[in-house]
Amino acid sequence: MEIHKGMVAFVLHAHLPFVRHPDREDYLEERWLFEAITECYLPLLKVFEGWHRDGIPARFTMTMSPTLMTMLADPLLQERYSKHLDNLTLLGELEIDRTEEDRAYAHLAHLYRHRFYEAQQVFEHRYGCDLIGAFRGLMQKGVIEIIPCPATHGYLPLMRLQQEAQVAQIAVAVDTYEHYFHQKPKGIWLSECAYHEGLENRLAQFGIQYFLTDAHGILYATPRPRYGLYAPIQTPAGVAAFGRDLESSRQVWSREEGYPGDGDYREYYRDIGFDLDFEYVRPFIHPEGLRLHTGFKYHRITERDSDHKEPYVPTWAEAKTSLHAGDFLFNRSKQIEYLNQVIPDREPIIICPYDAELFGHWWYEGPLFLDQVGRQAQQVSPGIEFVTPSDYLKKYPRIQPSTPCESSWGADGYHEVWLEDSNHWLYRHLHKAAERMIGLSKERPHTEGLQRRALNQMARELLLAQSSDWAFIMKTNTTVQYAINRSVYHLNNCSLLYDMVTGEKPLREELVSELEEVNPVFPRMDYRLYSGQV
Amino acid sequence: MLSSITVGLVLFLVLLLATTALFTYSRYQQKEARRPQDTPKKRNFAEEFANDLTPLIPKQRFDHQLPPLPHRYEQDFITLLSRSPYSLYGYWEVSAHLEEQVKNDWDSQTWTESPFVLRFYDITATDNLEEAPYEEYYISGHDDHWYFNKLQPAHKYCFAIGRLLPNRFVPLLISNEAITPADSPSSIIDPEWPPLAGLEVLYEVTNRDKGVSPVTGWGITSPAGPWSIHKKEQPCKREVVGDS
Repeated sequence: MEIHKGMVAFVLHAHLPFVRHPDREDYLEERWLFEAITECYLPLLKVFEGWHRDGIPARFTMTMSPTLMTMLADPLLQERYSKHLDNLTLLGELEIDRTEEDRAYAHLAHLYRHRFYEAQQVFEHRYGCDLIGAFRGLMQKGVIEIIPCPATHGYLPLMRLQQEAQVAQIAVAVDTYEHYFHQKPKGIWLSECAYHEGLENRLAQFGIQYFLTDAHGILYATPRPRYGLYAPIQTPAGVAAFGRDLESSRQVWSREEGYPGDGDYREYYRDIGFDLDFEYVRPFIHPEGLRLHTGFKYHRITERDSDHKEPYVPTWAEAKTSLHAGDFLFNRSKQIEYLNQVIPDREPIIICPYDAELFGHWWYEGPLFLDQVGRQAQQVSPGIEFVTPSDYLKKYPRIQPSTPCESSWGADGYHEVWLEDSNHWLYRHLHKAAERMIGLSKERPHTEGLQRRALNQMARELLLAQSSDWAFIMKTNTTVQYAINRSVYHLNNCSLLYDMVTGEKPLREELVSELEEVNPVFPRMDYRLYSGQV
Repeated sequence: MLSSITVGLVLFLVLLLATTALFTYSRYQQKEARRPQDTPKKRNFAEEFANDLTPLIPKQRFDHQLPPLPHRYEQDFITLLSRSPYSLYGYWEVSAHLEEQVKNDWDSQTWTESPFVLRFYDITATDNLEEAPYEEYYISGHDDHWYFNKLQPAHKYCFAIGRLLPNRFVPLLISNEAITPADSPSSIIDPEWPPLAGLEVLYEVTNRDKGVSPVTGWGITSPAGPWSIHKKEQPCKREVVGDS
């Protein structure tokens, strides 16, 4: 029997906005990081390390945003994460007592208690709180390739009239990446896969070899691409663009028919933080009594359209990941079989990009599914090779010249999520702040001392204000006030620093120091990036 | 005659007072020992007292009394941004200074009575605004943004803000050019890279909620589509057991 051959490239995009509040410990938003570490990053590390240990030749690409890198490396957040785990382990003890008589839940309480304790051990002792070092080690071993995304996940097409602002987002990303991973990035994840014609020129400046777009970014490219989605195209600047495969995306991600919606998987929305007696959970929720997710979730999805939820049975869920991994591989192999028939001159590549937080956070069993995909592929589908986009470019350096179509992977495929009624007001202020930053950078290329510190901090505040997360949150209507306030706060800081640098207000060291201390993202920031001369 | 009981009581009270004084002094000394060496001698007792009594009140949040962003910058700007193949977004600010300047070239009353107008040009075929087709919208002096909808994909547009004087449009600001993205496959073929016939299978996928693109052109996965596990499985009820 003929063995069909093709490549599959998983790309897991790990990003969180910079949420760090040294003044108080009750910002709910810091939990985004803590939950992602416990539920997603640690389990993924375990999967990748298992592959290395067992000689599984699967290669994955992970993108890691510079804001996430900065937070993972931050001692304050590391310390707070440990405390967060202390708290969860304690809750685990209480839960073991509470559920002692309940056969359906008692073993789950034990499981969670063990899981949080194990997370703490691994985080503190195995990795010495240095998760970036852990990921870097896996990259050095060849299991994964890590690439960055723009500095604060800035939405680049909405900065297109200020190329210097785009350059700064990319330059800081490359610099932060080099600082933590000791090499230059081969590719980049464009925030929200958002591309517009000409953006590749900014990427080429930094020696970046590839980026990814949504499917129509490639399918609507000019000239029409010979291989559709199953080979990259070469932009005029020489940077390659890969397009997202729709079928594999639907299988994993679709709310209706995707694997994560299976009735045996854990239900994300049922959590003891909301279900149990208020006084009991009070020490583990928000100090002001706001109920929130604790991570103790005892139910499976059961039926998606019903409020009735059956108890979660881990062995069933685990068995299902194995079944779904087999299904995923079967479909990729069918896809490759067909593509081999119609593509005469090269192997197809199927690009499967997902948010990393889907695996573990939203879809609790996601890391297990990936593990199964990597392991089963070696047993049943020898024709499928897991590669990174840069592996493909090494194998097939000659690719078709074509310009991708302007696009994003947001709803409806373009920019309307990030520019609509809820968030449009932001852009005039973001553009004004960037214009001021660019102006000052060009006018004052040789400042020193306090002036220089103020300009560097102004650049940090601008980058933080540009995070696409704020506009996205405003649109999706969750924690909206926080997103609005973060935007306004950073834009106000930009204005204050601008006024101080230009002499509108006295330049006060204590104010600059305070902002440096509160918002210390990208400590190596150099405001001269905005002069357009990198 | 004072009884020995009374003497004992007095002595006990004296002892109690002495012990209390000693204890208080010792606590004071301990507290002093914990205080950093460089604490200034002159302290604000009222503040310290307040802090001691309210250790559970945290600092103000970063967004406590956050000042709003400026409503206007008193500068001139106008920007046109792409949103989709069918929609653009424009924003602007006309400074009082600019309007004053331009106004001087015209009769003051005519100028003030003329409506504020937004002209939206399709400059796909020509960059010359005199020749380009346009649509006109009457707006108020308070408007500062506009959504341009129902546009053509892959077309080039710009817009101007100004006053519509009798028989003449006087622009105050003209925006950058913006091109709407394509919404379909390109008709341009590179002869060196001819599209493969086997990949040009039409299919329609429009539901973004399903995590897929609104592709209505060509492209291909396996012709039968995903072979879903949900279709194969028969639902079955299982009993939950605690130790499973």
